[in-house]
Amino acid sequence: MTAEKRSTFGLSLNQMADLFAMGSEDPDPGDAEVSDETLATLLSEQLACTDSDGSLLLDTLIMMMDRTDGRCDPLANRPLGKVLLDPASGIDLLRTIKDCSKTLSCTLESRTETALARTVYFAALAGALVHHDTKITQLSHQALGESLALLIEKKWMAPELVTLFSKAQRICEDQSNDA
Amino acid sequence: MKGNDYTRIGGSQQRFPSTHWTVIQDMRPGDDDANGRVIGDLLRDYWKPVYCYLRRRGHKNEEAKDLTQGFFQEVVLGRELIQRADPARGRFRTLVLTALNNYLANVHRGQTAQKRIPRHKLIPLETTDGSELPQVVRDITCEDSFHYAWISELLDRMLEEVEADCRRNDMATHWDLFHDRVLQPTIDGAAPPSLAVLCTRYGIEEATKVSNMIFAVKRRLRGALKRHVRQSVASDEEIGEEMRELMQFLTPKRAMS
Repeated sequence: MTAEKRSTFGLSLNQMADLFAMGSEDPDPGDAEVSDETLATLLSEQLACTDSDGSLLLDTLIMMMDRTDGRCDPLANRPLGKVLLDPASGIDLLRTIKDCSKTLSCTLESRTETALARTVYFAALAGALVHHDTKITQLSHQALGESLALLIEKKWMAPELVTLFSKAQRICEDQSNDA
Repeated sequence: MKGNDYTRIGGSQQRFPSTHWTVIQDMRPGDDDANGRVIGDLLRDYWKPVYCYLRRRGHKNEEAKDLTQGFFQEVVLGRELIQRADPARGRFRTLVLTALNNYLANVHRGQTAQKRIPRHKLIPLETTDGSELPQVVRDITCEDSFHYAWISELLDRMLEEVEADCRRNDMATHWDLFHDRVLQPTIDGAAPPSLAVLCTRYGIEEATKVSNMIFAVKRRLRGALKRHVRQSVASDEEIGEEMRELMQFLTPKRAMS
């Protein structure tokens, strides 16, 4: 579009989606390093988001969840963080969040958003383990525990998630020792 | 993320921005010249989706152009669209598509003769080359082709506006970096050049500076897209929902692991 006037007409849906995402997603500094403080703030904002708050990460996650289980309001207008931490959140919902956030984390180019999506992924795993005594991943207890340990050490990790991850990590250790 | 509003970036309009809804409400009966000017934005935004839809339905190039002209003359300028307009009943582009289908049904039934439109009243349309529709359009439904073309126009305007804004504000290199690193690779499906290559190409010392310059362009894109989407919805509150709907249209189903 610099040398000549070009149109997007004729591009594939995927290409159009990528261009649309450029204009619709909150821009991050790209390849520049994001400070722990910034990441902590971003994570906190994501966890406080409800369906209607317009966060692209959450919007995309909800859109994917809509397609997975057909619900038009998967979080029931509750903040994402509350859903992840609530013992009453059903195992199916956590499984859906896990699946969608995993797929999302594999497709995002932004390292910041990938980190946030992975955090949501592991939060769903931890929630299932802590509140439902169910492992909803093919990762072994040992591998899951190791991943959670790394996340716990992140300076930008939300305190409430550190608590959840710590509980889940202990369960993983117990299960690994029993094996 | 949340709380950052870049809608002011890239635009200095002081007047209240018109929307497609307010445009048709501002039309005055019998004042074709004024109405023709008023609907300039509507024509710009919708002629291609209308034309694409007609081609997708099987009309040849010249026939599609005639029908497009007739639709805008008789239904849009003719105020029929106004009578149907109700923001509470959905998106403006859906209104246009519904009105178009009704117009075509009337044409088919002979209730609306394809009148000879006086030459001086012809709404000038961008030249079409009459070539075949691209494969992506042929692979989707007629209705989807209308929305596809509409989104394409939206993206084209967004990119043109931001490029012009960058060049006007001494940010030509910002735009060129964005073009080389993000836009062109997306269009071509190719790997983007590394930041190091871009530093050499544009004589910039640090990769971080390149990233920040690209970041500045993305902020402008966000603002431009929101402004353009705002034109087609009834209220500010609907912008997010509309953008989600548009993304949902474009994003294919993903396989879950």
